[in-house]
Amino acid sequence: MTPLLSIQDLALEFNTFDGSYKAIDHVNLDLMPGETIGLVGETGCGKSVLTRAAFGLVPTPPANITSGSVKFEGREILNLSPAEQRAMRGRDVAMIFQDPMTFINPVFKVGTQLVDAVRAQRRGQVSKTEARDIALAMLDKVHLPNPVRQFESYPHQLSGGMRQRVLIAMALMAEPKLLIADEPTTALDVTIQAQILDLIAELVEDMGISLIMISHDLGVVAQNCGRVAVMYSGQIVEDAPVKQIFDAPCHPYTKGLLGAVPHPLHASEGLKEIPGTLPNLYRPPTGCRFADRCTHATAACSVKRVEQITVADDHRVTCTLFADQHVDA
Amino acid sequence: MLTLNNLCVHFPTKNGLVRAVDDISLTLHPGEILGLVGESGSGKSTVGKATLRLLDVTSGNIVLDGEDVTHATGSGLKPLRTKAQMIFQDPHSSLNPRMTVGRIVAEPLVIHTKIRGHRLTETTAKILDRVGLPSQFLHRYPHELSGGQKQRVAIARALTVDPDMLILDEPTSALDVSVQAQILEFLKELHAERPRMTSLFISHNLAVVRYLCHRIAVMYLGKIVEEGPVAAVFSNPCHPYTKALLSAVPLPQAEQNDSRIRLEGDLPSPVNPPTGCAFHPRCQVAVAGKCDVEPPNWVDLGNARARCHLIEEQAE
Repeated sequence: MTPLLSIQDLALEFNTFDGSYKAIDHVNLDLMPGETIGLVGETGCGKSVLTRAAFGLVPTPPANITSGSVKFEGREILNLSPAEQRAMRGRDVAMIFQDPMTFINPVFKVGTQLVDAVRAQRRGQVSKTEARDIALAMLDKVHLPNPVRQFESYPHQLSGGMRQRVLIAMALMAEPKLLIADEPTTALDVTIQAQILDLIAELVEDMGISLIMISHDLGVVAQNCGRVAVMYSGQIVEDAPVKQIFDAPCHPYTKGLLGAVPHPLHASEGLKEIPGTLPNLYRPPTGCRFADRCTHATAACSVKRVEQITVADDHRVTCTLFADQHVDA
Repeated sequence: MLTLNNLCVHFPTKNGLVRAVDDISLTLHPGEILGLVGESGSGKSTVGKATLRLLDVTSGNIVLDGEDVTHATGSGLKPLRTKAQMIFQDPHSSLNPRMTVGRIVAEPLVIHTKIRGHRLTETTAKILDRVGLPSQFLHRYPHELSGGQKQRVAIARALTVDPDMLILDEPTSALDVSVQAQILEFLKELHAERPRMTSLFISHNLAVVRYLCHRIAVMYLGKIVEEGPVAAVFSNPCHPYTKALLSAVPLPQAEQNDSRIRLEGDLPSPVNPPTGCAFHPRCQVAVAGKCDVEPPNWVDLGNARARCHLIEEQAE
């Protein structure tokens, strides 16, 4: 089966006054049709930049894609003209973001914006009344209470959870093949977060959409994704099915991340801190980027670039400790 | 250490009276960490601010270390500040960007003590060392620090006057998990070192409360609905809201809980709260004719207590 999205060897740097900041370092990621993948990592690890760069949403300059290819349904995206990329975004690929208020225009009614979105997505081939029907049907699908009334509301009149529902409706009206959800529930309370996560899971399954869910919360990813990719300072350090990430993590950073969060329901013995701070990406280390903070690091870790090692079927880890456990997938 | 008796904080707005905190009673014993949890708008931060008299109290009283501080004003508040200090959510906005770390941390000493000159610098350096920051930081400005370092500076500033009571208002929610772990471990250590240190830990993150606190109080729309030791409340929640809140948390593990309770709708407006039990419009076990009419009373459940008609009935 050909992957829906295939990112190969993607590297990106930002040119700044202080030099070039190597934000994404030769990342490989494949996403099969219908697959749901969670991208986790801490602030500044490159999880948002990676997905945005793949779809031409990072302005160049200042960014500079130094190597790699991104294929969507077998078609190379990075060589497309801006107009062609734009045509693909919104129709084949949709995104939702952390703070819905930033992505809805506060001076237009919700309905007006939804109608505009439908007509843009369908190249003006639908009339305003048809667009209205499509939008209302979608609002119903995202379980927005009282859609006809909300159609006439301004964004500030809706609660955070309702705004996120509107944004999800807007993203999914074009029936995209891929939904990228960038921290969709970080700004919401837990009970509302639970509602939105359930809604995303329901729609993704019903409409057969692939999902990339970006989050810093391991719980959110565990609940909604089949596979997890852990990012650390511009690299994917571990990529495995959700069960393996939680039950048998390999990379010391994944273990560190899991050890640093207290369990919500049980008493935890003591949290394991990850010592040290993130490496300087203007001058990234030649070897493993986590070596300085890693308790298992040996001299060999800092010598040369660590390659991704396949330790089991569909389980890849970027760590020298597993060099002898390589299996051919 | 701290007692809140029937505390009410109301804000008059042009849309009507907002009952941000409505008749709350809490007791914190010396050495205890109480977690105050609830969703945004439930009034948990207002409780914290009112306790330190950063907000005026509408009715009820606050007794800190045996002293009624409800109506203290002006210079009368000064002794209160050496007993209780607050740490805020966003260290970026709680530190003055135009002051060096040294000046920020020294300021409470300048206000409350007669320490000056090089002894002031020494004391400040010692406090910074206590929170794990080297003395080079004395001359840095907040923008030169990371989020975790800034929060350490905020904690250092609070500790300068040697308070027995800390009010922590979401101290880790702006931080990454690995940094959050460092701050939580530090707070735990601090409590182990100083047996009289008492904390009110305000958070929406249940996992953090489970980890750090001894007792938990759950707030909904300005009222406490359940209170008890963390182990008891987390393993056996009584109030339907607490149950829903606990089952809404996504677990960091591969197997998720199937039998989850899903709340519908949003938190109602505190201007016009529902009649009877404030939770009844979202409650899945609410009894019509009872829950929507009468406000429930506290039911004593041994060391815990909850406020729900159904528990009242069971108890009888």
